[in-house]
Amino acid sequence: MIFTLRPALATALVVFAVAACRTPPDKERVEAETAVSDMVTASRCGTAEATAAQNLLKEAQDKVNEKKWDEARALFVQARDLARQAEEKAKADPECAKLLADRAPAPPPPPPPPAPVLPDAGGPTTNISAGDTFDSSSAPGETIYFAFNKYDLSAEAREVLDRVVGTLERNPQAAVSIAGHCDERGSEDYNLALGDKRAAAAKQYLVRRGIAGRRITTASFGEEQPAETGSGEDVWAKNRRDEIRVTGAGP
Amino acid sequence: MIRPLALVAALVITLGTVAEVRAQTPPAAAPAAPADGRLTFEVGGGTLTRQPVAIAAIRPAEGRPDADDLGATFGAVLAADLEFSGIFEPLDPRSFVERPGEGGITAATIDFGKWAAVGALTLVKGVYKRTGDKVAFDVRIFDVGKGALVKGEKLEGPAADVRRLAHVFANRVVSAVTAGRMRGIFTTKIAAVKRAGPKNKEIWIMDYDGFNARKVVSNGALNLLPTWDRDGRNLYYTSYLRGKPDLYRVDVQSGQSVVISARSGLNTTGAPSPDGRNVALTLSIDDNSEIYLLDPAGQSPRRLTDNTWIDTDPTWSPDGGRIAFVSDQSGGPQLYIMEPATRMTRRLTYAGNYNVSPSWAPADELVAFSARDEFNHFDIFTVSTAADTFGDIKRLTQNEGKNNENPSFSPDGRFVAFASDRRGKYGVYVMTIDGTSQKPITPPDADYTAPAWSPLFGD
Repeated sequence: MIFTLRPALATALVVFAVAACRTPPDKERVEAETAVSDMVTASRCGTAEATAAQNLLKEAQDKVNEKKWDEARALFVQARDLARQAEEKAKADPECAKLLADRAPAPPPPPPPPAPVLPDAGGPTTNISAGDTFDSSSAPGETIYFAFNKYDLSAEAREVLDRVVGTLERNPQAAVSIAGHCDERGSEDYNLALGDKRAAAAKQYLVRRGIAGRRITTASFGEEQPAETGSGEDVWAKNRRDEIRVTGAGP
Repeated sequence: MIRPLALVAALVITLGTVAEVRAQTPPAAAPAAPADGRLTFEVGGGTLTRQPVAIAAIRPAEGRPDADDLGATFGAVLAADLEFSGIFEPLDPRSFVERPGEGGITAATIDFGKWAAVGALTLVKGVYKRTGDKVAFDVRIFDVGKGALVKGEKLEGPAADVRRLAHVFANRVVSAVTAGRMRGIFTTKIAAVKRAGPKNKEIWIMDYDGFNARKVVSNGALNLLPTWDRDGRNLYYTSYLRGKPDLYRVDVQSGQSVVISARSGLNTTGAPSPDGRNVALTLSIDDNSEIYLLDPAGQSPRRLTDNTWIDTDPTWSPDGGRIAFVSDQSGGPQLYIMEPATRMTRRLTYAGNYNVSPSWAPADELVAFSARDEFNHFDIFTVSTAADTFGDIKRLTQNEGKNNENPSFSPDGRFVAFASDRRGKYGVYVMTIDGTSQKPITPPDADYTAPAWSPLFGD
């Protein structure tokens, strides 16, 4: 669920090239801004779809400022659709409901997820990197670990993955996202591929255990999102990992 | 990643000895070298005899220096550039016999004996005029031995651009004194990743000497691994703007980014081909990183590798006929060479068990890379791709910090930029391709990684 967002700019490019129009996309803008501001549950849960919809809206607004109306129009439409979809999905997501229920007792009501405003970012909905999708401490998650520069699964890792298989079997509607990470050593470029391979290793294990590939999304963060900062084997060992999150499972 | 230039290519191959330099120099544009042949330099390594150059104080044509003393800045930038070039030795102005402001800027009004006396073979003299926010320089290069003008330049621009004007002139000095056989790289840029927060990295570009750093990509997300296109107008980079690693291209002037590839999985290490027709990159559409070619719009993927191991980080040979890349098919990451046309692949490195980040020299059979050595330190090396020395490795950095990574060649192939943590935080460093004259160009309190040296620009 988390990683099913597919940036559709390539498609968008084609669409606006064909349907070239020379007027500002006022109607699409209102619809998109309304949809994003109505996206209360999803943005409070901080789902990746919500973040992506906010990003798309901001991109579209930037395009309007540049008078690139066709591009803006396409992005507004995408933002609107994604925002509606995100809200629908978040409302149906028991995990999200639980997350919000846990927060509810705290008066006053919690603010929306942090949206750091950078001096040059020019908008209230700057991007939240995808790490936020994975690092949510209140969400149930599993972690498996790897040796330096390796992506084969240890016996412990397979045990953890077996538990994930159980959860997925009991919850046929649930999906799973796997984020591959590396320690800080080595090059950024190679570590992106290594993290990808680590996520793929877990995915392949789940598939071999009978989980449909379409329920699994993966992403690599290379060495960019350490679980723990610092140096030394203790720290590095904690950072060479897959973070596995099941979404849409029952309590 | 860097556009090869036929001019530089010819230079690197032919400019071997003093005799050759002198023999091939057309008489009409003789370098400012006297008969004793002290103009001795070899491109691509070897002994260097730097040519002594005197840069006389650059003063206002009339009156006193302006408050910013633009002439002094111009002279200092010029001296630093010529020093960096490795082919000049700027002389200490304190040794000069002629006092600042003395003598004219024409051959007839210069006492060349005073300059010969301090050991100068080349003399730079000039004046400037500031008018409000504008400045105009009239600077000239003289051959001290012959007592003759080699080249004069009039340069104008905003006063704030004084460094750029000096860099342009330094390029002219290199061209003039080498009779066009070498081109200065002083107006080139270096792109790098600057950390702005735990999950926030920006793409910046700066002058080759680290000045005038400015933000090009800043969106609150992780932005990584910039590479230049061949004309230096755009950078390819990987961004997590939408939560996963996608390949973008940004116009460095306007700051406008477009998505090039946002396919499922990795979209990383974009490397435009020398002819501009392809972008090589790493995709992991089927859960395994492979090297593909895309057209410049990011369409028509063509797959170059097809296996179960990691393939990533392509870099093009200057003629576009080969790609060096990283593969872990032997167990750890090693460098391989492939001909995209035939998919013929050959292993390039055998030493060590972790060789990554290849960067092909812009006009040579040489690939720079980063490797983990026996002490688990990462250092910069080069490896030959020439038929007779294929796989020969040379070390460029040693015992300086634990991590020296991401080498990138200057467009003349004589220097390498890289990232190092030798001061604590990562910074961008430059050095010669022999590994000498290593120096940081970014401030110690900033965190810069993944430098990429631009191609030459028109000036």
